[in-house]
Amino acid sequence: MTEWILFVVLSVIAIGSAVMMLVGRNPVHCALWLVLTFFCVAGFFLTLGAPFLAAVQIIVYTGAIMILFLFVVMLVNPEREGEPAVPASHRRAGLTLAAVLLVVMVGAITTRSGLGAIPTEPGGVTLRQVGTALLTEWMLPFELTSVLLLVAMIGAIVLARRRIE
Amino acid sequence: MEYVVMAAKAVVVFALVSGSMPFIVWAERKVMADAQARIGPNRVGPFGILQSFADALKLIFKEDVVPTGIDKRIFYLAPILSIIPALITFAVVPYGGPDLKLFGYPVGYVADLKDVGILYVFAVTTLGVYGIVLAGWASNNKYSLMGALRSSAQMISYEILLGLSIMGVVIGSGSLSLVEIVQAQATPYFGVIPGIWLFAQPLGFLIFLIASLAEANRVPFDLPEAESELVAGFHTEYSSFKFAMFFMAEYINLLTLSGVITTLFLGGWLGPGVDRFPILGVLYFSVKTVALVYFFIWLRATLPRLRYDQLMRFAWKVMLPAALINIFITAYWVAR
Amino acid sequence: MLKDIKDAVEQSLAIFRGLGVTLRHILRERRVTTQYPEQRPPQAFRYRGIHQLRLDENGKELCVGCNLCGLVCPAECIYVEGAETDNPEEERVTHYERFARVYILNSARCLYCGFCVEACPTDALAMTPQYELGEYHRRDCIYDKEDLIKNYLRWKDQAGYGIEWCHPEKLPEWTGHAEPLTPPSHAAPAIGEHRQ
Repeated sequence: MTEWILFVVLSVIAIGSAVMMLVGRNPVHCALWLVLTFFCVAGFFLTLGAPFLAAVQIIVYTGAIMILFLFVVMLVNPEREGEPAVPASHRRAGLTLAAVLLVVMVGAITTRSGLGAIPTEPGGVTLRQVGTALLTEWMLPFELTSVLLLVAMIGAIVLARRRIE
Repeated sequence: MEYVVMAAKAVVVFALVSGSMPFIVWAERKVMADAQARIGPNRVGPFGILQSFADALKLIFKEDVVPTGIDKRIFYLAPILSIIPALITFAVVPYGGPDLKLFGYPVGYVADLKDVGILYVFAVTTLGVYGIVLAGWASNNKYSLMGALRSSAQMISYEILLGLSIMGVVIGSGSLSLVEIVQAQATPYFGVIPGIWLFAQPLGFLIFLIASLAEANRVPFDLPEAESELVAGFHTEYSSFKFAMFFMAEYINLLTLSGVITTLFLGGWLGPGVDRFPILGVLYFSVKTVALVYFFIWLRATLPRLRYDQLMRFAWKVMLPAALINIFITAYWVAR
Repeated sequence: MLKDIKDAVEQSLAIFRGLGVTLRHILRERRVTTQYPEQRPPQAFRYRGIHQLRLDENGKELCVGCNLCGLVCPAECIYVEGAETDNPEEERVTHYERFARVYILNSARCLYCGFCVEACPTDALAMTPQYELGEYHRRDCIYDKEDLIKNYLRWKDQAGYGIEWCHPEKLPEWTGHAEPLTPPSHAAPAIGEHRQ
């Protein structure tokens, strides 16, 4: 029962703040609404018995990624420069992509059998299980992800490096 | 009942942590004065020990200046975001062992988060950055913004070191729980040397110490509020109680980080006779933590401030490789 | 590479040397602080504090209202109105016909250079060692003749600029030297000489 109450409260806050993030005009405010959404997602992980994921969610998303977002927003300060007009073709393309993504997501979720089933493990997922799963069953995707991040990092360095004549 | 005990513990720890803050400020002023052949506060109360309370009272009753052109909501939110993480970190720091029981309930720590433990500390300290960044941005002031940008760059860089440097301890202890990390330090090396991680992980300890100085914005890493260039950094525009909140957050962070270092590297509540009298653990923990706070103050009296590029270069080109080497050595030693 | 390592080690050791320096100071008892209202820093015997208008041994004013002090004052903070009287000597405030009807000194404008003291032909004007001159109102910074005489009565036994050549016998006590200092060449003649 408590879990359901928590779930409902968290969902309302998460969706509400996500909407606020979308409709907000001030980029810093939007970033903060997104932070609130991340917190709610961390809360979902907690109610699902995955405290490790909740902690990682906060460390990685709110602690690192959103801080960098804020960093950039503050440096660039886009609100002063006025909003560039978005061409109608871009809007159409964006809407189409969003619709496709929605269809794919809904399809993926509904075709999986696990929908609606909350925690499988009685005591929640332990750190040991997460670690074992990452380094045995999901070894390849895990390593691929780290390579992807590495490539992104090197790419950023190459782009940012001053050209040496 | 369990929740009542938990709440009671939380209230007591909260009160002690925030209540100790005036005394840390007083101690800092006294020790700095000693190092500079001055006397320090000596007017309010015996040895001036009530000076901080007088200052707090003064700050609260001062005019609360709210500049024009600020982002009001975030301006008000920032000090709160700054002080809450400082206060809630202590929830997972064990100040007494699991044997310390009152009416059958373990009271040695507020909560022992088994699989999260130290990650909780990191998650909460990362939130502290928000207070500073938002304060700097909302103030609509160049100095504040510069301070905020510096601090976010600094804190993100050093958080990585904070995380990497304790990996050795985590690998060695085989747990993220702070209670279990302390328990892993109970067996002495060769039967005589205390089994604390300080001796097995000297490099990790050093990196963690330096990174926590940077994380707490202490000298020599107090660039976000470098008075000589940035007026007061991110809290330039803050006055009265809102300034007091930033000030409190800073000192509570100092205490919390000392507590975390004590737990991770100095054996937490462990000490002679703790097995028979668990209450001694609280004493040992306090003594170690206070000694660390004293050390931080002593450092402040000694070192000048680093330059910004030195700070970043030091983090990424010296400390990061050192932390990685530390992890590899520890992993090899454990897997052997 | 080897040099880098050597530098790094040396610089790290420097931190500990620095810690040693501060620790030495922490352990040492030496304190340089003067606990101000209770303890006071030593003052020079020619200290230039707020002014005083001196009286002679008979309680008569020495100032004759010549306004030389007002003329020499770079900050123009002294205003003097001299006057003459035909009263018999017992009823006069000075020993002469001339006296200062008004004597006003603005301590907020004064820069405490002491020129006025040097200019005074009768050694009436001198300075006290008083430096606590804070006031809540500007009007309290205006000293009239009475105030300046009160200053004399309060500080008359203490050293101050302009006093040393009036009391050469006290110089050894103030300076710590047995031999009295030679008075400055521009000093006015002694009080007795004037009256004749």
